[in-house]
Amino acid sequence: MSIALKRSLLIWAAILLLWEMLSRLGVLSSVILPAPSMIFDAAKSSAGEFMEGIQITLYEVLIATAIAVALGTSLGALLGASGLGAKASAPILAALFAVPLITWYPLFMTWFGLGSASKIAYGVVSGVFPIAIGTIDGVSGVDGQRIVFGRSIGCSRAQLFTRIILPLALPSIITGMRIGIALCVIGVIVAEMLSSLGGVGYLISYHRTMFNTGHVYFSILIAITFAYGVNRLLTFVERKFSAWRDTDT
Amino acid sequence: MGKPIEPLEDPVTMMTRALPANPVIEVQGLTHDYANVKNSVRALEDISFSVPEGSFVSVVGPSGCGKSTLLQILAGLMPASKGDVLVDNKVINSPQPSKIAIVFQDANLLPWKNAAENVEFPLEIQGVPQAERAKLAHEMLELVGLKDFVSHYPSQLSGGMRQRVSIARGLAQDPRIILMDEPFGALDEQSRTKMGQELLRIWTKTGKTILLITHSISEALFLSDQVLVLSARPGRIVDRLDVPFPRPRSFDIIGSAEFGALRNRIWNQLNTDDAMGQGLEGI
Repeated sequence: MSIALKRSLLIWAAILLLWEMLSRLGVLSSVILPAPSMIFDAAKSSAGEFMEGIQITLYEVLIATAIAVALGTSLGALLGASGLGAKASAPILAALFAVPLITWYPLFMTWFGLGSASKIAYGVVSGVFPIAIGTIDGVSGVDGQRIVFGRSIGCSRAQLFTRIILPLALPSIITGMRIGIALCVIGVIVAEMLSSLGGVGYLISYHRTMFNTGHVYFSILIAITFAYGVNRLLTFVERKFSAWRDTDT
Repeated sequence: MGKPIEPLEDPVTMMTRALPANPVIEVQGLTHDYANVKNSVRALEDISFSVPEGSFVSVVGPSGCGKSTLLQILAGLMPASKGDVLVDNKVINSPQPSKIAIVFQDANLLPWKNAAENVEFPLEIQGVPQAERAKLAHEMLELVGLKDFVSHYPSQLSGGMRQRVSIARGLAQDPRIILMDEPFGALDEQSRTKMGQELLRIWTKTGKTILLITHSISEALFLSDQVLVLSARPGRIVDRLDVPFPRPRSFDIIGSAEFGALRNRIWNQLNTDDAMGQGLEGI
């Protein structure tokens, strides 16, 4: 174990210990901030419930991400490939992205119901814009000389796109995906919190009304872990693919 | 030699300008206008020339002489408003990777492919079997002096090395003619000079026909058999001259009086055409 790791573990242990003590001594109200042991107890006593919640959220996030990525990249590629399309659509997409999407959520509920479908739909609209914008940027940013080169060696339109344009646009697409997928996760959990039948967001909001603060905190911990995990994974992927972005060839 | 040759319409000059071999590429009355809703701009006007098999011909011109237009038309990437391009007596109206290869100013390599993969790429698009194209790629990289760099990625290579990969890639297509668009324009002067020599070595070894488009008068004179001088907008051929220096050429010729005279002649051609100061390199 490295010294840095040891030190950070020690710091965490100290924080948890202090927190536990303050809670037990009654300095912190357990309704506002329950002791770590209470959060742990909550996790243990309702393990099944949490597992089910995680499964539901994971399912919704995966489907929403798949749709957002497919929709965002194809829309972005289509618009980015036509120069005018990119110029015309970029401000519209950016404006849509800036609108607080949550205002639309009641409509999603009427359209898609209380179940997973409305969470997936909301996750998709949360994540699709950054992905589309990243793809437009990437595709429209490909140097015209590369395309001249591709045509000169006899690439078909499809080859031009899959062999030259798309790989060159990939770093930008992945940056869009990193932001978009993170927003997808947030979108799904927020939608679950507003009204739903299950999922991590649902657990947060349900246990809050029951004053099961330990359960609420553990659910939040799960949500954070989700977002963190996704972000770490995508940052890793992004770094891997952006290696050639800055190299001038 | 030395005096300007009249435009090709003159039947006498056409006769007297005996070409050593059959022309690989023949350009006939090429004119190109860029038109939009309001007006049209003439980029090229009545360009005619031919490049004999195995020769090295340069086109010199100031910025805005329509050289990239010319290149795209020659490569069959864009139709001309008027006139024809013939390679081996066949009209070119679409990209012909087996006949024409382009070497660009920026080496235009694909950054996720190593040197060998980059050289193989056009062959892969052409459907050449893997083993065959790998062998060819290694041969070509060896020819351009990059035997030890086949697995290097573009980001690990210097500007001059990338350009060599790009030349190897052009050669691997085994085209009838290699079009070079300001291939050493992005290099510093030393590498540029070295690459010029290197190019002559490769040209001598392969016997390929080369058409080089450049800003640099000296580069054109040092490398070529024939130099075509293009005017600024619209691009017209204002002079064509045969370069008399025997091969192999050494750098000493650059300092010779004859070289200076030819350089001045081209310089003046461009000057009278009000092309001065438009990105022309006099060195």
